[in-house]
Amino acid sequence: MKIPKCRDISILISRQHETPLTPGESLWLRFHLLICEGCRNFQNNVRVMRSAFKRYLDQGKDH
Amino acid sequence: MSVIAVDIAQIEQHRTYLLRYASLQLRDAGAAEDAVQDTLMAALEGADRFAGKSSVKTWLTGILKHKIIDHVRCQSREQPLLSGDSEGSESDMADVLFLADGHWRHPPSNWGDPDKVLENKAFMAVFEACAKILPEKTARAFMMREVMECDTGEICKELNVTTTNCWVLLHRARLSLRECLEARWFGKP
Repeated sequence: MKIPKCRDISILISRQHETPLTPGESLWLRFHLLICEGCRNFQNNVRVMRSAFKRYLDQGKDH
Repeated sequence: MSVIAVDIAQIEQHRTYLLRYASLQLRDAGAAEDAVQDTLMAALEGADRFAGKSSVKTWLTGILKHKIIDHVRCQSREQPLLSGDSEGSESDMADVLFLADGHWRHPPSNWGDPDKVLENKAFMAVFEACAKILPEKTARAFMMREVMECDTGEICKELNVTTTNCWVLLHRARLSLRECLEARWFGKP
């Protein structure tokens, strides 16, 4: 099997928010994240963006 | 059986929230305003049916979601997602963001403490601007996912795309939104 690169890993990082990854995909993802700072950041950036939607909708609710 | 009535003021106070919700999804101030008006009208007409099992906000959001889905359904019929796609294919965008060997051309940066970022009103303004300039077809799928919290099955059904295509759209949306935020907010010296 071809070793997944950042491009492939970014697809998994996105897709895990839609559906569980296969055990093999999870393993590649975890392994890659250990060694790749860019993809770790991408994973966190995606989480921040998801939270930002919630925060955006709820802005100003205290007023 | 007791009837829990909701009054106009209770409904009206959620208007801003509903308008934000509708604007992100519909990307058209007029259409968003119409959807919210329809929702408030339907809510007032059905106020005596509000069972009080959920919050007023959740109840209103549920009505709005249906109005938006109706709108999206019409749009998808008039303007099918995959015919004449002028937004470039997934591979085109990935070619810009990734090198030929599959590595990031410009690796994503660390955005720091999310709570701090999200509390910043100026950031939220940039976030809104970036969300609203996503390519339309990509945005349609993405907002259904992130704003309306639909699952992939619902999105595929409403937009008439395959599951794989839906994942591609969502991946593309996240990459695009991230690039915009990086350029306009996080990348600033």
